[in-house]
Parts: sequence; C-alpha cells; structure tokens
Amino acid sequence: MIGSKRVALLGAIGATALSSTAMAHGEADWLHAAMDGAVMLVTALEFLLPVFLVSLLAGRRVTRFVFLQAAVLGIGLLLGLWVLPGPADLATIGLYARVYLIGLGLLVLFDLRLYAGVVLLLLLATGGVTGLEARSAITADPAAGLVLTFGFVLSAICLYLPTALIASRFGGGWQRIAIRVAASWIAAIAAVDVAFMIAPPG
Amino acid sequence: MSDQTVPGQPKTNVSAALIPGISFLALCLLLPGLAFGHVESGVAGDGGFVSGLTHPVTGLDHVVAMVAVGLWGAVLGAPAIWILPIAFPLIMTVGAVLGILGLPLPAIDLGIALSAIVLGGMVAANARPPLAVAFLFIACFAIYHGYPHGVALPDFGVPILYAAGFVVATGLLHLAGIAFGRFYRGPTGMTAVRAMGAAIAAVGGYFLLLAAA
Repeated sequence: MIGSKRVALLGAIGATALSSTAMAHGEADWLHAAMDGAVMLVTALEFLLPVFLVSLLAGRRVTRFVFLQAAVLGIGLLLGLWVLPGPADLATIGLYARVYLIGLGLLVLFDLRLYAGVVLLLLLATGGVTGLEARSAITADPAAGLVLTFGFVLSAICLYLPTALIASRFGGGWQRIAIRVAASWIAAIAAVDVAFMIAPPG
Repeated sequence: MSDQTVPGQPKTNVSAALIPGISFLALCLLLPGLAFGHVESGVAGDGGFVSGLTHPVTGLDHVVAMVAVGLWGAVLGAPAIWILPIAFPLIMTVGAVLGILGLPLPAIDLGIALSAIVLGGMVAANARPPLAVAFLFIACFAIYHGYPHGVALPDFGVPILYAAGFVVATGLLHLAGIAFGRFYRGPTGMTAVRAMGAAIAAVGGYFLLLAAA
C-alpha cells in the first residue's frame, strides 16, 4: 500500500507542475510549447474528463501498479497522438470519444472492480481516444508537436497519479458515492455533448 | 507516519487527516481551466459553462422540482439519498437529447408543474414508497425537465462546457435539497422539511394553473 506521505508528495508534484502553466512570460519557445501542451489538457473538458474518469476507475486497482498504469496511459496518448489510424474528421472522432466517455462513466458509476489487466487496457484505450481527438491540435506542426506532446502527456500523468492514488484510498461510504456521483455527472455531460454533435445548436 | 492514539477513542491514523486536504488539492487542479484568464469564448456566459450553469436556475418551476428531488432523497434515506440525485441528471440528459434532436414530447409545462406538485407532495406527506417506485417518478419527471433545456439551446458557444454547466447546476440543486433534508432527523427539522415540501407543491400548483390557463 502506498503511504499517505507519498500520496501527498505526488499531489504536490502534480500541483507544482501544473502551476507552471500560469507563467505567462516564459522566455524559451520550447517552454511555451510545452506549457501550451499542458494547458491544452487542463483547459479542455474533452481531454480532461476522460483522464480524470479513468483515474477514478483505476483508483479501484491502484497499489504498486500505479506508475505502470500512468505509463500505459502515457503510451496510449502517444499512440493516439502520433500512431493510431483514425478518421480525419474531428467531429467523428469527437463523437466516438464522447460515446467512449459515457461508457467509462457508467463503469465508474456501477463501481466495478475490474481486473488489473482490463484496467490497463482501458487506460491504453482512454489515452488512444484522447490522443486521437487532440491530434489535430498537437501534431499540425511536427517540430513544435513533439514539445506540445511532452507537455500534454506530462500534464495527463500529473493529473492521473494524484487522482488515482486519492481514489484508491476512498474505501467506502460517502467517498465512493462521491466518485460515483461525479462519474454519473460526467456521463451526463458526455451524453448532452453527443446530442449537440448529432444536432448542432442553431 | 506515526499513529496517534487518544485514550478512550479509536486509533487515528494521522495520515488519514491529509486526505481531505489532498482531495481539495486535486479539485484545485481542475480549476485552472475555469480561472484561465485568456479564454475568449465558452466560459463567460456566451453559450458556454456559465450559460449552462444559469439555465436550470433561471426557472422557478425547475428549481423547486430539482430541490424536491434532493429533499425527497434525504427523507427516504440511503440508498435513495444518492441514487435519486444520480438518476435525475442522467435521465434528464435523455430528455435534453430528445429536445436537441427535436423529437416531440406532449404537455411539457403540465409535466413540469406536476413534477413539483408530486415531489413536493411526497415530501410533505412523508411518503416512503419502494425505491423502484420513487425511481420511476424521478425518471418520468427528469425527462420533462430535460426536454426544455434541449430545446432552448443557445445558438453558439462551446457545447461541452454548456453541458457541464447544465449538469453541475442540476446536481448542485439536488445537493441543496439534500442539505436541507438533513434537518429531517429532528422533530422541528422534520416539520420544516415537510413544510418545504408543501411549499414546493404549492409552487407546482401555481405553475399548473399557469399551464392550464
């Protein structure tokens, strides 16, 4: 079992990493690009919610595997951003991603304790789907894209680690209920967004 | 991390006290997205998060019914106290989807007014039907409450932010009802909660008259 000191330390590291996104006057271009990548994840719900939700899901299985899980999520993101074939149409990718988010939300809502291997597959899939959706924004310029990718993946891991570790310590009672309520809300958000995609406003 | 034991009290792990703080920190990590000062659209009420957030709270008929859901959940106790507030936003989105897709739903105003009357009446009458029956009530009314939100959409904005605001506002109204419903335990609190249920039913009656007029 990972101790609370480590959990707190990881949380602090994550917060420190993300607070750098508020630095508006960085001098190096590569630093700007890395920050843009990090900011992209935390300011866009379509990227933030899947990572947050899969962290809650994996929190049921977090013990000594947490860093492996984070690595798998990172690999999934890299595959989605650079390798996986997918539809070129962003709207179609978004639709698939949102349907996937609904499914993920329902898995957390029903509080399933999945096998560790299944969790790893879901982490890989979540990374892949999120990466596919972010691909057009990140890989348009291959030179800057590598640094953007670094920021994007790093911020995802920084979000994943503390969230999954905290969720893993939520043993039962109101804490698990809070997680299930959050998952139901995220699934609802995704459902409304799917409807918007099928029948755009205006 | 050392454990501290107070005589006569259960053994307390000091590290456990860190959990609320870390949880708060994790939530803070999600906030920079909202506080980001250079977002040009989507957040500031132009069909984005704020529009979605304000949409459910601008109609009294919606507000009282959503508060009544939380109130009734608190009166029914576990597991209804958390199942009903989970079910309502989820099923409400089904109604919103129907509205967005332009599918017809009859007597919407009537259904919304009835929801306040029935849910408020259940609280006032201290009704304790089986969970499945309560769920059925909630599900029917949630569709009616979601539908107008789907129809009355802003013409522009960021859809996912609008959806987030819309769902969060609904959930917070349920939580407000639950919070008030927690007073139900004491005799005075029980009277207050039931009186609130009666008031909600009365508001529903007013909207029923408006719908019938």
